[in-house]
Amino acid sequence: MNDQESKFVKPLSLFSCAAALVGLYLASRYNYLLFHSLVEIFTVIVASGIFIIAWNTRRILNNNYFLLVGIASLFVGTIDLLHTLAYKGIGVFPGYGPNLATQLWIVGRYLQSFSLFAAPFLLGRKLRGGLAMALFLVTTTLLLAAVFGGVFPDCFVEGKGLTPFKKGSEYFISFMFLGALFFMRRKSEFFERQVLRLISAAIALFIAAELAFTIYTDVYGISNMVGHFLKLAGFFLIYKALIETGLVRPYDLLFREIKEAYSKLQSANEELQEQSEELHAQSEELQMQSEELHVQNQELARAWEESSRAEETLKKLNDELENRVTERTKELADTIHNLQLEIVERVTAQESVLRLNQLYLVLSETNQAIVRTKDRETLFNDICRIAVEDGSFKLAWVGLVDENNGALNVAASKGATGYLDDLKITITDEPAGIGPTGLSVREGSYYICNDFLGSPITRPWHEKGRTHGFRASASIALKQEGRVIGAMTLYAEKKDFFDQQQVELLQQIGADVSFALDNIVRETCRQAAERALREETVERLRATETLREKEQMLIQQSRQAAMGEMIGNIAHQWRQPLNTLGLFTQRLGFFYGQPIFNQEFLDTSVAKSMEIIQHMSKTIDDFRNFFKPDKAKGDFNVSDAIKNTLSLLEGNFQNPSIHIEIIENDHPVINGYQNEFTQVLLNILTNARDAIIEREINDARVIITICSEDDCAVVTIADNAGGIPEEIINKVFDPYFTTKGPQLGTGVGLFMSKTIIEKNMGGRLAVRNTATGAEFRIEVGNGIQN
Amino acid sequence: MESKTSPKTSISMLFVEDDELILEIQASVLIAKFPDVVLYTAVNGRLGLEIFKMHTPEIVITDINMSEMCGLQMSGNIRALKPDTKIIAMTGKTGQSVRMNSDDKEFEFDNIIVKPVILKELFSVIDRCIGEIEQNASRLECSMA
Repeated sequence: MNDQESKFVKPLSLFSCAAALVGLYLASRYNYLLFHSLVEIFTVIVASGIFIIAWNTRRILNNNYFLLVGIASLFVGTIDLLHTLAYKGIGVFPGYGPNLATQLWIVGRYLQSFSLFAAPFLLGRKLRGGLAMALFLVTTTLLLAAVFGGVFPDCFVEGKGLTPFKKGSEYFISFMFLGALFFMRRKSEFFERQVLRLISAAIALFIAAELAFTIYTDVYGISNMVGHFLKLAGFFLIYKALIETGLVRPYDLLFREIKEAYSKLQSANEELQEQSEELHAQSEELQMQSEELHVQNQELARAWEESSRAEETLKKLNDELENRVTERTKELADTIHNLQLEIVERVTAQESVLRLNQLYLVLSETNQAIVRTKDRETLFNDICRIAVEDGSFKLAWVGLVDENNGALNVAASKGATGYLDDLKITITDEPAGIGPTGLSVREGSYYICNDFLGSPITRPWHEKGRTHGFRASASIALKQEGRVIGAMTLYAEKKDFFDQQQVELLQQIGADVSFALDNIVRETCRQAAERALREETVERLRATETLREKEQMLIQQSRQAAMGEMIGNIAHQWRQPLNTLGLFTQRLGFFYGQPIFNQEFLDTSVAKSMEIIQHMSKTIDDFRNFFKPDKAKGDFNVSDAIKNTLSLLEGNFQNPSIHIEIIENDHPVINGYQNEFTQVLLNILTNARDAIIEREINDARVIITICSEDDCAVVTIADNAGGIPEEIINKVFDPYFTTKGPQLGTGVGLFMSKTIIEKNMGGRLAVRNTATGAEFRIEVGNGIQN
Repeated sequence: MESKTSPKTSISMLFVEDDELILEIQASVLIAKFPDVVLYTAVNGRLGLEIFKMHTPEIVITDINMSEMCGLQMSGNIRALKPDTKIIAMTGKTGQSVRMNSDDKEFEFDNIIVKPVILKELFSVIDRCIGEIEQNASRLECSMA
């Protein structure tokens, strides 16, 4: 696969490389500074790439050589970038000249050659990436400080060319690279063959580059250009090697050990096969010899009587044969013993692989169960079932800590659950609490007991364990939101069942289950919140309904109050004319027969009576109109509505005499229900009258002004009854708020007024105190202006 | 004092009512019914009080709710001037509510006529008042003699 791929890729990459080289060469022909900048920037990009890949794949790489070279690349790249910027003709660092660029170059090369030289020594050792990073940072900073501070030796003198220090450094650096190459190849077992080749080539290119740089006299010269090409190629090869190691073949690296183990196993197997065949061959040979012996025996029997001398010979032959058989048998036994040992070894290896596979299956199934299940009980049951069915454990159970007494209660179990009957396990410091399960819970990690029947800590359970065939057990603590809530314990029928790999897998299972528990808790919380929200919504709906019912009741009450008020008004208005009518009627009877009772007297009485009756009839019509529900909204003149209202109150404002003044600044028209508007005016005027009566105001006055303000009809009704106390002025529009006492006020008049003006008519009703009394202000949007 | 300076031979009566039509009709009936009684009329409490101060009538018939000085106020003032004046109140409201409105003044009318006025009732109340006044006058004469 890889070979095919590389065969396919190679021409393409070769072509692009060539194209890049030609492009760069053309750039150098055009402008050497451009070429230098481009080639250095490419180098810096590749160096950055090396760092990024090496740093981010450092766990997969598991190769400190690349990590160190990667980190070094970042700093070498940084210095090279500075070198590029300092280059003659760029002008970023004026006043330094070509010496600075050359100094930076040398610093970069020192750092690079040193890191490549040092890297092989880190192979197979521990390297902390952060520490290496910090060391490089400090070193680079110091070097740069030396360069910019002028402490660093001169490398290039204009006119003279390169200084001996610079040339010497380049040779020294070349030797460093040679050393790097040598030591790297000494540790070739750490690298793939192709990677080894790539790195070797890269270092060789670096050496060649150095040599090219020793001979130039002009920073724009040809040897300089070649040197840069070689350096770029070197970086690119390192990059390739890293890609090869870090990205293309990580799996090879990861599974190399497994592969090796597998091939070893295979070769052992083959050897075994060979030996087996050999054994078989020997066995056949033996058979043949045995048959031969038989024939000889027969011959011997026949010859027994024939020759007595032959007996001795035969005996001798027999002994010899016997010796040979014994020898052969011994050989055979040895071979068989060896074979058995091999078989045991093989079975052990196979078992280990099998166990590992089983645990992998358990982990996989557990993870599926975690994804599937939504509640804790199902999850516990599932993982126990998986452990027993897929993991072939004798018993798996999950125990949860009882916060009250420290006992572990069985939450789920599978397998030989008879073991759990009357089982006492706690997390306290007692024999029942220092078993594998108790320990893992208390320590919040895991506990492996690979000799269940031999370990002293499992003594309380030795007998039970033997009955159920347990030889090893493992317990993993289960955590929920970081707190240990219990443990899962597994029992295996083999001693030393749990090895390091299995322990890691068990830990993984424990971590996954704990993660799932956290998820379940979160899910439960979310559901509870949702439920609470739903309940709250229902509650709110209910409250809204209650509120609506209350409002309906208020409207009803308001209507009844208005009705009562109106009936009072009618009674008041009619009392006087009724009295007059009564007097007219009685007078007729009183004067009958007397000279005064003539035609004229009668006519006058009748005419006056009829006039009063007409007036009363009109009054009752006015009231009836007010009580008639408005069928539709309509435009009405505000001052007409006010005069209408006052006619309904006629009489009420005569005793005590209340002077009503209407100031009409405008003649606005409102669109709405006139009777509702009248009801509002009635409420406000009646309140004013009641206040005037209660406070016995002399010279009582109510001033009604009508005007227009910004497309609004504005009516203010001001009395001189002293105003509303400040502590209740904010409450007068509240429902059921009244100052008149339970018999006289219902507390809904002003509430309904506000509802009518603000809700039904989209206006505003407000109150304030003036110097002499209360002033209500009604603002309603203008209807069609007449 | 009155009896000393100008002993009265006839009874006088003051009728106060702010509704002029009622005033007219009721006055005409009262004149016809009590031809011997001198009748003064007034259209509000203030004028009524002025007339009372001028003529000190023995009987005062008054409406309660009036624009300028109500019947209660006027009656209070009259009582203060001459406590034995017979005051008959006419009201659209019931006697209870009249008392309620005036409880701070501790005022009580001798008689209350509820509107609409039934003339016979009014007449009998006036008759009774006249009777009481005449009795008092004769008692006073006796005591003087």
